[in-house]
Amino acid sequence: MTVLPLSALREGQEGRVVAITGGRGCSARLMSMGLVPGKKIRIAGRRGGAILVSVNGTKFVIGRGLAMKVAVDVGEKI
Amino acid sequence: MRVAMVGNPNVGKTSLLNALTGGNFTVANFPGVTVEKKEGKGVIGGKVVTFVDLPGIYGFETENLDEKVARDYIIREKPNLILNVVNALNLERNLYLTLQLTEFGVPMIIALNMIDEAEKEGIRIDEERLSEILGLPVVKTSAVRGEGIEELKKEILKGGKVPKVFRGSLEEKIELAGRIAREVAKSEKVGVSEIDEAFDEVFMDKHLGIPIFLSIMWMMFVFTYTIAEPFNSLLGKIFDTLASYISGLDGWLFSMLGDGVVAGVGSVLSFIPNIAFLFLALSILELSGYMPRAVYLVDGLMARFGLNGRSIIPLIMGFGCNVPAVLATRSIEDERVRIATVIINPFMSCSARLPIYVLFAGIFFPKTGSAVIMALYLIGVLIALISALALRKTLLKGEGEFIMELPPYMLPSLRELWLMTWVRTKHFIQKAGTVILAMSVVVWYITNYPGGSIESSYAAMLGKALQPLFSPMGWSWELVLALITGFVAKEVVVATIGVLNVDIASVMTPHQAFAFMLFTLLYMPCVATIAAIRAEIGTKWAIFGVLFSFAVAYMVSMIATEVGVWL
Repeated sequence: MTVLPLSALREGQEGRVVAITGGRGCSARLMSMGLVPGKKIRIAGRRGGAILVSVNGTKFVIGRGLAMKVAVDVGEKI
Repeated sequence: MRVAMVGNPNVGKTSLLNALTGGNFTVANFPGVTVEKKEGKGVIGGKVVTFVDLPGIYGFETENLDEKVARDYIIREKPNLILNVVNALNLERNLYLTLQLTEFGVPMIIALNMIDEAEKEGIRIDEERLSEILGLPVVKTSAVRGEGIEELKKEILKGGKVPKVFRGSLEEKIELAGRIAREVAKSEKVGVSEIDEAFDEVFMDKHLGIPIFLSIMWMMFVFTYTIAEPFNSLLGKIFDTLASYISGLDGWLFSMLGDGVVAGVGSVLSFIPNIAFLFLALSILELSGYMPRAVYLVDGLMARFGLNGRSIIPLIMGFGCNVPAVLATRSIEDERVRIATVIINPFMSCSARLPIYVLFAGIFFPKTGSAVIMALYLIGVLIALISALALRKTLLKGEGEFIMELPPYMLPSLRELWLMTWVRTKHFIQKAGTVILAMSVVVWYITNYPGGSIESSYAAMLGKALQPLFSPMGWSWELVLALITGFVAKEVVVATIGVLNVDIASVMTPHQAFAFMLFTLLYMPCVATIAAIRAEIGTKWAIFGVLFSFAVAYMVSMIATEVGVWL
C-alpha cells in the first residue's frame, strides 16, 4: 500500500481515498461531496494547477491546496 | 402551503420547479446576501402552493453561505414541507443530505429525479423499499420530460411525512447512505453520459481547450461591449439631451438637476446595457455548464498569482469596463480570492482610459504611439497580477481552496436566463445608483461653485491645493484638476483638458506625459467602479481599493518621472 496526496498523482492514475487530512470543515466539505474514504478515485486530467478527478462517475475540479489534503492509496504500482 | 425544495447542485431542481409551477416563478436574492432565491406558485387540486427553491447544497456540515441560507430558511421560515430532490444517477451521495434533512423534523417527500437517465444507464431503483427504509413518500420523476409530476403533486397535497430521525456523525450517515443505496439500487454502475464525455474531450483538451476558451471570451467581449453599444449610445443621447435641456433653464436648481442629477443618473444608466448583456453572457456560461471547465483550464496560470481559475473572467472583462467586471467576480466562492480579484480589477485598462492615451500619445509619441499604448495595457496587467500576489501574501493570506463538481452540459432555458439577468441587473441599479447619484451632485457642485465657471470653482481650488502633491511629477494644476474630474469617469480627463484649453505640449515633457498616462491608468477607479466595488465587497474594502490604487499610481508615476529624467 502506497499512500500519496492526491496532488502527487499523475494523469490517468487510479487509487482509493484513504483519508482526508486537514480540519473538520475541510473533510466535511469533501466527504459531503462524495470524496469519502474507501471510494475509488481517478485523475481524469491535470494541468499545473487544478486537478480533474472522477469519483463515482462524478467529475470534480479540485484546487491544488485541497488536493494535498486527500490521501490516496495507489496500491503497489510505483 | 409552502414547500422548500432542497437538494444537491445539478439535480434538476430548477426544472422541477418549472414543471410544478408551470413556469410561474421569479428569481430574487435572499435577504442581505447575493444568494439567489427562486420562488414560484403552483395550483394543485385547487390549493395554491408556494415553492421555494433553496440553493443547491451537499449538506449542513460546513460554514458555506449557501448551507447557512438553506438552514436558516428551514428553521426560521418553517416551510410546511421539504421536497428533497435526489439525483437518481448518484443516489448514494444524494442520500447524505437526505439523512441530514431528517433532523429538522419537517415533513418530507423525496423526488427521485432524472430517473429516465438513470434507467438508461442501467440503474434500477426500488423506490418502495427506499420509502420503507426512510419512512417517506418517494416519487420517481423526470422534470425535463414531465414524468411523475402528477404523482408528485398528489403526494405534495397529502403533505408528506415526518421522517424517522437519523442522528449520528457525518461518517455514520455516509456509511448508512452507502448501505441504503446498495440495498435499493441495482447495478449502480458508474453512469457518465457519453455526450458529456465527448464535450469534455473537446473543451478540456490539452491543445484545443485554451483556444476555445479564448474564442468564447472574445465572443463574450464583443457581446458585452459591441452589441450593447447602440443601446448605450441611445441612452447616452437621451440623457445628454435631457440634461442640456434642463440645465438650459434658468436657475441653480435646474442646473443641478440637469448637470448633476440627470447627467449623473444618465452615467449610471448608460452602463446598464453593458451590464445586462454581461450578465446574460455570464448566465449562459454558468447555466450551460461550461464555466467550471474554463476555470480548470486557466487555474494553473492564475494560481501563480494567488488567484484561481475563476478570476480570469473578471480580469478579461476589465478591458472593457471595470463595472461589470467587478460584478462578474460573484462566481468566485473563495472570499479572499474574490476580494483580491475585485481590488486589482481597476488596473485592467478599461475602454474609458483609451481616449486619454490617444490624446497624450498623439502629441508626445507621434511615431511610437501604438507601442506606447500597448505598453500601458501590459503594465496594467502586470501591476494587477503583482498586486494580487502581494495582497494574497499579506492582507488576504490563506490557502485558496476550491472544489467544484462538473455539472452536466445543458441548454439553458430562456426564462431562467432572463430571470437571472434581470435580478442581477436590478441589484446593480439599486446598489450602485444611489452612490453615483450622490457623487454626481457633489462633483457638479464643486465644478460650478462659487465662481460659476470651472476655472474659478472649488474644483480648481482643489486642483491648486493638491498640485504640490504632484510636484515630484511636475504636473500643472490644470492637469491635477483634470485628474480630479476624471474621478467621475476617466474619459472626463480629456474633456476637462479641453474645457481648460491647456496646451499640454508646452506644459510637460514626453516622459512626464508618459508618467501622467501611467497615473490615469492606475489611480483610483471611477465613481461607478467604486460603487460596484462597494456593492460587492463592502465599504471598507472599497476605501482600501481607492487608497491602494492611488498609492500604486503615485509610486509608479513618480518612478517613471525619475527614470525619465535620467534617460
